[in-house]
Amino acid sequence: MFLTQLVINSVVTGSIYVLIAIGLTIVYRVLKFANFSHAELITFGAYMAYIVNVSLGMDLFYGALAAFLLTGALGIATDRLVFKKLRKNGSNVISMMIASIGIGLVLRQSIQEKWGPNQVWYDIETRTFEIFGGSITEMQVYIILISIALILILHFMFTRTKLGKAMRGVSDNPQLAMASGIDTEKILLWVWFIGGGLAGIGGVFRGADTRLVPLLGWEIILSAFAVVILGGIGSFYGAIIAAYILGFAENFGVSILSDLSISTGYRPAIAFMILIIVLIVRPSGIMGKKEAA
Amino acid sequence: MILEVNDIEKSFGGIKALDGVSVSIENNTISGLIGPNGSGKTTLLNTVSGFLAPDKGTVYFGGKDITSLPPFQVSRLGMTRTFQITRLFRGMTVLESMLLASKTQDDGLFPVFFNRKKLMETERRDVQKAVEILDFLEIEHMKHEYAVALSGGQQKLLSLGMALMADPRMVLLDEPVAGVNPTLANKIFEKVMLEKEKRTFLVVEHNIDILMNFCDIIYVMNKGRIVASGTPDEVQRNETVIDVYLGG
Repeated sequence: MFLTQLVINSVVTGSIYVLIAIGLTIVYRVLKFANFSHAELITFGAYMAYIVNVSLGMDLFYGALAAFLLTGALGIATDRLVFKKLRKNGSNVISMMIASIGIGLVLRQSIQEKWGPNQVWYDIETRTFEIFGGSITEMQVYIILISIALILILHFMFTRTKLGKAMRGVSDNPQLAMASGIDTEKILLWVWFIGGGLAGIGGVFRGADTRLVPLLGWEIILSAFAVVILGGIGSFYGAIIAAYILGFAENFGVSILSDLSISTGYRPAIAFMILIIVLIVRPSGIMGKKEAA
Repeated sequence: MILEVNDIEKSFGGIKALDGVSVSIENNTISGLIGPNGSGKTTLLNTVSGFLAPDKGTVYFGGKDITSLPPFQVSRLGMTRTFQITRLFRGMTVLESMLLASKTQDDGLFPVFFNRKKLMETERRDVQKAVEILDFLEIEHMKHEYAVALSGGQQKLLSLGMALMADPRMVLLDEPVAGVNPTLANKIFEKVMLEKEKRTFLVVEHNIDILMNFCDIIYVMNKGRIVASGTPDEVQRNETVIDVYLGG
């Protein structure tokens, strides 16, 4: 069935967006600026997994693990080398955002210098299953399941662990958090590690579902921003819901576009159509304001 | 002496917010800090609690030099504080806020995986302690409400509760009863009185009458200096203090 296929594709798209958007939103929540270099963290993660998977010939699972750890470390490095210094100088969020665009440019070009501008692919088997008349690859099943597992782990972390609560505390009121004995700089390290790590995994998913190019992260970062705003900036649960909404909107939207004989090149615009409508109707996003985590 | 502040100076731009301030505070006392707006009271509190580094001078807490320690370390050493404009974790419930202010759990993620049993035990004890403190402050029934849903007075009580949660040796209170009705203001100070046998308090407050009733020692600041100190009686009769408040 065509409808089944659309649903499958939507869930896969949503599962790719969701981790990237959560990473973006938790960094935003604590540091209050839109980190454009998140795009290149995504790309970096994808290529780190490529090294493990293709250059070293190991299973992509290990590639994803390496992507998480190394991209998390890169996130920390960008903070230590640039953002922390800007924070100490009392730079405003616009300066931070511009700096993040600069970091992104450098990373993107470095990736292109190393791996070239052409597309490359992971070395993965593409077994395909048939369900309810639609088809889904083994890799897509993994993408969906790993995303759900990570969402559950993050939910557990934010609600049940001192670290997660401390992250919420630091984003909520840094001064009060410090007065409560929370080492905010240490918490920031975790925020960057987890935010970066999630971007890295998202990059691997995207790379596995399509292909790897140096613009991989850049292609989806605007959709990820759309998810973050749609969900209510800084809202963890809002971002989850919004990621899947956007996944459905893009896939069904493309189907409608082609039925109407309109170019599917408008696909990226769909996210923004929805975004603009939401901003008009409900400026704080789906879960804005009242949401806690 | 639990707190010794020696000759602290702090300037912002060309303005000396603190101009050689020295304060010695004894264990298990309540000290008041008064003075006109802009006299440096909150700056002093911020410097003592690590939110500002002094340009000159030292701060000793329990015999330990804490002069330029970051706030979280000062807090972990046993000196907590509240803020003039009540600060709350907006996205958290009263109980969650209290738990975050405890110092018994480690920040890392590793205990979650490797030391769960101990973690559950400390969590259970922390909850019990939080509930006891909330009960003492008479806001226990609000424990599952979001902190922002509390009334202004209750928010002040929660701030006090969070400051007490880490079982500190000393608590700095920045205007704990500003904007609170007189009945509740008295109640807040009665709670502080009850805690006096366990810890030491330094209170910045504009409500001088209430300080006169509850404080052992009062320090008077003006233009970045301590201009007078003594028991409430002494301070009330001090000419300089009368000048500061009436003549400016």
